[in-house]
Amino acid sequence: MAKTAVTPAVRRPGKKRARTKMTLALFSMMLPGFIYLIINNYIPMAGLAIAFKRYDYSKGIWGSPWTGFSNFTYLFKTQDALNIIRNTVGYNIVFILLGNLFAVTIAIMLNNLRGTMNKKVYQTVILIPYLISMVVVSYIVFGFLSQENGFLNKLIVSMGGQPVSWYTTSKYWPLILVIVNLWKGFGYSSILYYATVIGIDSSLYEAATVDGANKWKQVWHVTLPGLRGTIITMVLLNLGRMFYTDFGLFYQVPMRSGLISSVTDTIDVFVYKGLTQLNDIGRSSAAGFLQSVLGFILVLTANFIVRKIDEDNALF
Amino acid sequence: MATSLAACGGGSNDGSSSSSGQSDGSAASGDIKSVNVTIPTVYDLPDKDMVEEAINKITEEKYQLHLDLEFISTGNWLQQSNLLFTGDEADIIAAFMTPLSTYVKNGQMTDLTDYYANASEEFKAVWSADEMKGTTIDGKIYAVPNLRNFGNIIGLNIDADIAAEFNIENGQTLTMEDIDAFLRAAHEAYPDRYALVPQGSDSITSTWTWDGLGDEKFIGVLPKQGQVTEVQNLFDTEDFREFCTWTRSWYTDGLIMQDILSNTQPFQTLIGNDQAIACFDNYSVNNVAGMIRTVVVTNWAQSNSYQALCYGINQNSKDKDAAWKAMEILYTDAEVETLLTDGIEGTHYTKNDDGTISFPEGKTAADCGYGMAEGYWITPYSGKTLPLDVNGPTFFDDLLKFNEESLKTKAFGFAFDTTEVTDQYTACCNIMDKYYKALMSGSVDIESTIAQANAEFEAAGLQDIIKAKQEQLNAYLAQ
Repeated sequence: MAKTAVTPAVRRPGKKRARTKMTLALFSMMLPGFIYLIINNYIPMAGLAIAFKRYDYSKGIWGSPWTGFSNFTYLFKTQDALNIIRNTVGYNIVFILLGNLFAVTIAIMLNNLRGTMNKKVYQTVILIPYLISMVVVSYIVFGFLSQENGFLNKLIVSMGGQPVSWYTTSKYWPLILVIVNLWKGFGYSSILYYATVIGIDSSLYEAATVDGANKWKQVWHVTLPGLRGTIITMVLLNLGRMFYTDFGLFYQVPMRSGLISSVTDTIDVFVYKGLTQLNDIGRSSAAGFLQSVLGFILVLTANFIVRKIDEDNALF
Repeated sequence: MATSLAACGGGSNDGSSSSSGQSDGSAASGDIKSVNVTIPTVYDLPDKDMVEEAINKITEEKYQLHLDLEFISTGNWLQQSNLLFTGDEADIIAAFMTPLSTYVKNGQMTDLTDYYANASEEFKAVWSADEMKGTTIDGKIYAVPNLRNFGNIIGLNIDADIAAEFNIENGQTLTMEDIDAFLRAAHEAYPDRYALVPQGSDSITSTWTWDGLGDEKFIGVLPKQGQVTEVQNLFDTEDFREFCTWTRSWYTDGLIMQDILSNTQPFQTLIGNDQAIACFDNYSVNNVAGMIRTVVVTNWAQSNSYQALCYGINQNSKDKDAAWKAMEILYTDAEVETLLTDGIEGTHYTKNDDGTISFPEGKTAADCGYGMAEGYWITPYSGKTLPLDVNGPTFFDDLLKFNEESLKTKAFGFAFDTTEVTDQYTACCNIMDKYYKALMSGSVDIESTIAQANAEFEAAGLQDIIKAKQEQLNAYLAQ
């Protein structure tokens, strides 16, 4: 972003004053948001110190003794640690890849729909899952997977099979969680992409048609290149949250069933489960601290790579 | 601190605090202090403000204190109480769901030892020095117990009509063999009902015969109602294996609801709606409508029974003297207790001739506006309030007697401090979450699952926890 603001046109003295005046006006507009960011996003960062403290409520943050890295050890000491990190990163990679692929496809399909009425209906319909609370989603899923009355088991039994105990069999859950996540999230991200798609200059399509490109060729040579910037930004944003997971999805949807936790526990869920019992702020902050630092490093690296390949599309 | 007395009991924490035990009415200046009281609740209490006003009419005049009541539903308690402890909004607050020892370790609760030493005789008559040991940690009192059954009988609740049909009487003692025979016969007679449903939404029973030593995850326990003193891995105890063997056979034979691990309906609904026949439950002298109670495990009290729900003073409270004064009122003033527990006569309950109370015609605890009467076991002290009709006129006397008769675990009053093994404990909690409910409910094979769980426990350092627990327990018993 810094690159675009640099090269000014030739300056004349009178114009400079006018410019300052204008930028001042613009800065003053930015001020409320800026102050909000400082108060809401930057000042609380001092609280990261808690991750290195043995927190004592009677002494407060700065009065509590320092403990170095001892709040972090529990994240690595357990056999589960590898499992949890594998789940967190693994699910996120799948979600990013499939989620974006799915969303781009839908956005392009939406763009090729005829009639505004159709478009409006589809846009609304695909957005609905995104608006449903995870708790409700968990019961929709339960409606499918309940052992006695679930839709799937009824179907299996009616076809002569044995009912499956979904909530105690871990091998199905990676697939279930991926489906649920895609179903819930695709509407929102495809609308983001759709906004970019309709912004693509229609003369490009006309030119492509004149050159004899069919629909597939148009998508490949016009739409996708037009979407490139948005896709990269979205993926970069997602990468920053690589070590976080949707708590609702991993905690609510499996109905807190213990036996499948080897494939449903992610860092957030593990920390929540382990610490609600202990009420230990230091260790919870340590987990949050680690997640944000790793995410930050990941974004920097990804952005660095993007800049090497295609400078215009890098975030900074 | 306008009302500090000259005879200061040696400031408990911050030099400035002093005892105001007998200072009732001494605030001649007439300024009324405000004390917040934070209490968990099961039901929504839309009429809370009405009750608060009635209480304050009494306390402002008699004690120059304004009580600011705050109710938090049990479902949100864990998160919201944690937040409250970071600020000074809450003065008197329940230690509930999180072990008292954890609050103390985190420095969240005020040391009440000197306050209790200087408390009024009336207050000491409610809780004797001996009973206060139940909420004492490392020799200091940190909270005041409330009135509940500290022990529990554990038995099978059975639909009253079906019990009559099978000639099982209220209060009858059943062995597991008896239960097995009954469940199978009842299942045969009523095949479209679940024979056995969980007590809590997804756990078959909340307690049995093992004592978690202040740790509700049961990582290292004393089996046999706490009558032995060797700390053991729960999954290796005979008590646990025997219980699971029974439930496993009931589960595989279709007597237990198959969706037990994702069930959310309470047994009251399931049995009340004729969807189920029986469930395990722990109880004391209280009854449950439409069901009879039986005895499988006799009345016994776990080590943390006083601490499971008790009231303390937030370390950040601005005026701890006033808070303690309010605490004494909550435990000694019958009028305040009754208002806080039962609500307002005529609006939230009606009195019966035998001294019990009933919810207004056609109303229940859930919709009468202030259903705390059913939560007598939650409020700070309900001993001087009016019992509900289902529990009978002598309920609170029965309760006190029941508590006296409880078989106490040998580790009574002990609470495990996890500090030195926090890493291992966090890991083991997760493993326990994974297997405990599944094994108890009978929905998985016992031998292979326990073997798998024990391998994970070993790797997570269960032995370190058991060793630490045993050492702390030995030190406690030697005292």
